[in-house]
Amino acid sequence: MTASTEPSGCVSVQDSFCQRKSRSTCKRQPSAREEEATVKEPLDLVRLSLDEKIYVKLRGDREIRGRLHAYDQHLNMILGDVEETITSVEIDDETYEEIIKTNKRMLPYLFVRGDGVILVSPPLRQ
Amino acid sequence: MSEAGLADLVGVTISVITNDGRNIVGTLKGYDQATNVILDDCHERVYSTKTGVEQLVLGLYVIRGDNIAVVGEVDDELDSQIDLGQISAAPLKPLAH
Amino acid sequence: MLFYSYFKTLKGKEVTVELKNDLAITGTMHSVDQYLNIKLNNTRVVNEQKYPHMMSVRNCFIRGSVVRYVQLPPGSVDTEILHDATRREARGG
Repeated sequence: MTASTEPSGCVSVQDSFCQRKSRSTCKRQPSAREEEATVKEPLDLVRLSLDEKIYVKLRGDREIRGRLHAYDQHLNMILGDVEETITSVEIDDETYEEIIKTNKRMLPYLFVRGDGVILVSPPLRQ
Repeated sequence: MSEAGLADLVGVTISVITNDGRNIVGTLKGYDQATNVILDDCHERVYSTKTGVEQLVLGLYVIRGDNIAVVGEVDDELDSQIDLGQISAAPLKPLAH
Repeated sequence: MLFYSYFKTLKGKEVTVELKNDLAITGTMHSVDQYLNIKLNNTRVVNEQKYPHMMSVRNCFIRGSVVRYVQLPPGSVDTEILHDATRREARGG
């Protein structure tokens, strides 16, 4: 098989993906602006969070704060300036007390696969 | 080639990591779209913290793609330099979806 | 298709793929398909002491469904293109 056997649909997406930059400086059509402001379904709210700092809760006691740069209908995402927090519980050997530990790390850019996403919370106000 | 298939690994020794954390090594005989694979002359490498790696002979296996995490191309030369009996590690965790 | 298209632009770049079994593999992006299965070349496992399971593997195929994160090289992220592509996809593209 070769790359040329791709369905034509994805080629056109690729093309528009690559060419978009030149057009991005153009003023948006009024209709597009109206479209942008309406919230009819949950993902519209995510769209309004583009280029904003968001909070994402993930499976496996993980949380992420970062700037949303891209997402799709699966909630796959690309975030920037990411702070990931992993929470774990350890049992003290002697007192058997539960000790809650949090590990943090910073990552410049991160792709997050949508199937691990539990919730997305729009812009953090600070 | 932009394909992310397994075509170039047919006939080659591969190491499969399954979703339950097992490691199966054998010769790739075939595969399909769903990443189902046929492995010939394969064996499982059982990792443990107490002893070195143990190898279990399995034979000819078909592994269902849904249960495959990683397919690695084994560098036979590198692999022959490794003394598995001296390697001790916890088994890989099962995949938490 | 957005992320499929984006990952194709990463060909030849070094990424770290973190799996849902906590294994992290660094390597050069070789290819990606519609399921976001990823092939990496020149791979090495992060923390090989703890994870010697892939010591003799230099090229690998990672099933898209087992990926938790992909750590992206900063220079390869053009946020403006991503914003526009995302808006277009959200509009039903």
